[in-house]
Amino acid sequence: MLLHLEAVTKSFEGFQLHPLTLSVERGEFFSLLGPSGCGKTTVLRLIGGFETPTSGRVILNDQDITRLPPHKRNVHTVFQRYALFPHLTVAENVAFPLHLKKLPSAEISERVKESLKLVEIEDLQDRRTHQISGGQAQRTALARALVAKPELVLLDEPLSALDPELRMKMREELKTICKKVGITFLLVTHDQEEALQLSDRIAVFKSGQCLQVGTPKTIYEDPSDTFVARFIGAVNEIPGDIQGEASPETGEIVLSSPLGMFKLKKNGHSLPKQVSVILRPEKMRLLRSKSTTQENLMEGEIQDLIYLGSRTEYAVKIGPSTFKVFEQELERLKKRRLNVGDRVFLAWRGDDAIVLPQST
Amino acid sequence: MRFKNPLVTFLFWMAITLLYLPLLYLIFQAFLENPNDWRSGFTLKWLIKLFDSPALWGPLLNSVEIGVLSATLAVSLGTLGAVGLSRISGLLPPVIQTLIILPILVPEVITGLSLLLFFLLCRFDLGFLTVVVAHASFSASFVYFIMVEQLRKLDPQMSEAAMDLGAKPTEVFWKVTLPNIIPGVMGAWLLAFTLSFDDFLISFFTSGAGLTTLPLKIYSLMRIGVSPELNGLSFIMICISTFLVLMLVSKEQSRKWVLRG
Amino acid sequence: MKNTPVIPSSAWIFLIWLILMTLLPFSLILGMSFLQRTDLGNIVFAFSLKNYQQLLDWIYFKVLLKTLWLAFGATLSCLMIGFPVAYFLARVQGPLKSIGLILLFIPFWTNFILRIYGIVSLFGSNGLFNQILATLGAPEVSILYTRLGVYIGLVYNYLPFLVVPIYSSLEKLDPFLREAASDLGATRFQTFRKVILPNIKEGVFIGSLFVFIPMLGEYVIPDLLGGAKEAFLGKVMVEQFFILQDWPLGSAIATVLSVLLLGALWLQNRWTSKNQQPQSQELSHAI
Repeated sequence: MLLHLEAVTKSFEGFQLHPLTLSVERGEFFSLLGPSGCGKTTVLRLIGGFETPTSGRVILNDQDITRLPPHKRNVHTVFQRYALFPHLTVAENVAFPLHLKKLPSAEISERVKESLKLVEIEDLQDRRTHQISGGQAQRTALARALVAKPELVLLDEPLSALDPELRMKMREELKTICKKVGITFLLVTHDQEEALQLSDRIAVFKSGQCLQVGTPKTIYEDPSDTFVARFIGAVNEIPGDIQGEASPETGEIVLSSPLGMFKLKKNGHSLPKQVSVILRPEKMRLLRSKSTTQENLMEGEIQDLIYLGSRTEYAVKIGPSTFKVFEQELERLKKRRLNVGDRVFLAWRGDDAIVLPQST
Repeated sequence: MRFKNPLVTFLFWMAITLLYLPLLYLIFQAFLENPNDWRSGFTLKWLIKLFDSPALWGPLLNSVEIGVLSATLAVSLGTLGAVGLSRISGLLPPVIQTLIILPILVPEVITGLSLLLFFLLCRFDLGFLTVVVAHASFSASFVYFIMVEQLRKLDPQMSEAAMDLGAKPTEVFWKVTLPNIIPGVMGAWLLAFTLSFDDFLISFFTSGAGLTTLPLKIYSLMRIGVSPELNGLSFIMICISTFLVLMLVSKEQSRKWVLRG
Repeated sequence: MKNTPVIPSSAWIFLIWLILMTLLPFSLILGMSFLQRTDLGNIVFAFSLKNYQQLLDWIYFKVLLKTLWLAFGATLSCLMIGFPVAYFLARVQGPLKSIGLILLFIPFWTNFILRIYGIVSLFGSNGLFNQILATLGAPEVSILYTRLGVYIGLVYNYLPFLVVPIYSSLEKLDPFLREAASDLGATRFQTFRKVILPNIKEGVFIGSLFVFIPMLGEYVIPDLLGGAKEAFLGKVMVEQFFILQDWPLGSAIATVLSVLLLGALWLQNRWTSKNQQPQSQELSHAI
């Protein structure tokens, strides 16, 4: 365990970070994910040393660094707007932390070269920071944070200042670079796709509270909470009541909802009577006619469809609510043409549904 | 959209002409055979004579020395203040704001009188040092505002980034903050020098009997009456001032160019 | 959370300097204004309001009224000349704008005494103006060493200080405001009167105060352009110190002027905090 936050809290005007306990393993790529104002940046600043927690401890490598100023922490940050030093060249920026450590100049130039090579900007080393593009500035900032081989690198929304196309590209490169250097990374982001793609584990935040920590797969498929489910990916929700007990042999439970009775699988969580059933749009199928499968069926009318090439997104109106359904454009579906206004059946399996307590 | 309003445009150029008329005439006059007759023909003799009057070189040297010292003092103080106070997040308390703006706002007469009173009560000998200190006392606030503006343009994350990469607070200042505000520091120095070099009133009150700066010399010549020597001196002074302003402006301009990249 | 910010030690050096070199001298003036002096000019350390009462004596009060009147007229003239200048600078775009601003400021970076000397060269008895009159055969007109001379000097020297606040008020206006107004059917004049003027009137008023009040304390202009007979508040104030040796009375005049200025500053802060434009920014613009 490299980094450990122990019941850390922070409060300032209009914001409160609830007691947070969190561990990051050595070599891990860990993300703090949440909408803006959720406290994820505060956590980052507590680790970087720019803020002091109101209570609790920050432990890095078995050493209590709670009150250590930033310059004494072996933690470097890639800032949101990179914060490159405009009076220095790209190479001088990267050399900055090494100069502070008073390393011999031969070693400095060696390591700077190595770092610039890693992020593939060797040819820019003599440029000024205002002579490089956003993506190049991003790489410089990354090289600067990595060059002194800190124990932990903090990434504060590093890709948010880039345009979407470049962001996609940098995301992949970031992943490759991180794998190569084997340093522990902590990423702060509000972009769930970015978090899913890059992270080994993700902590989801909402208004100063950490709701769930888990691998991308866990967070997506087994969210602990309706907020997490909604924040990561698209959802359909069916509120309802659980009828009776689970059947002992199949583990099935029955949901009674305004849209009908549905069969669900019980999945470990102990559930109250009132629940929300979360259905991912890609886990539902559209049928022309009522089939006799074991699946749950709902009848509705296609309200809208968006053809996206690899898949089509449908909006299906069922009673008072609208359901999103994503279908892959599979060969077998080619013949079947659905149009707006068509009556269809939505089919879904009980064990694809995520059953969660209703949020208030 | 181009601005087209002939009346406003005319009034603007009219006002500019009126502003320049006295100064242009002073320059014109410096070359007149008889300064009191505008049709008397041109000569360089007054300017040449100027270089032969040792009475002017002393005041000029005083003015330059006072300007250099007071500008250096003002820049050190104002920059320290700006760097220190910019670390405070949010607005400054109004008391401090007022304290800083006071030397700029208060008419020079009152600044001069109050400093005179202060120096006399402290039993300081009026002279070179009191003038240096008095000039720095008002130009430090100008420097402060320029430096605040400079610091405001800096990315606040930059000093955090430096700290994050291992720089101690003093290293942050010397290695990151200062190199980035150095153009501003030089501009502020030039401004403080210009303010000191051009100042009449505060020198008038705080210089005592022994010391004469160039503006004081001009004043005393003027009280005697219009002299050809004075006209030559005016010409030189206008040239120096214009040169200083253009330097200040070009600094500002080049800074903008650098920032734009 | 602490409400009072911790001031770093580097800033303290600057603040202590200001306290020592600005606040303390001003406090001395303030303190002095409540003291008395003997007929020999010695200061007596006894608290009294006599100096302020003395300002209301007819001889001083007359000076005060004359000065107020002259400064008021000069401020009004500065406004009338300065408004089109500011309006032009605010509306014109491109290089002409910076050139215009530089043109406006170069004269005011040249030495103050020289500017006055320039006026003397133009309007003195041997000045250009009278030389031209003489060639035309007209009699000499004495402009200098009269109230008119002081008035010209005041307008000439204070003009840019009024242009700047008007200019920055106009600059702060949303450029689309005018377009919106004309879109809604206002004529140019209506736009100016109903949209632009109401939005800048506070800035213009404060700017005028900051020109008007320092004018009252002006010493060199009335001294060099007004001649011996022309009584002017600032000149009277300085003479109390240097000629009449009545420091307490001179201090009282200085105090009144300072208080007026602080009042204007307070008013400005109240108004700008509403429009959230820190004054420091405006100032550095002016520089």
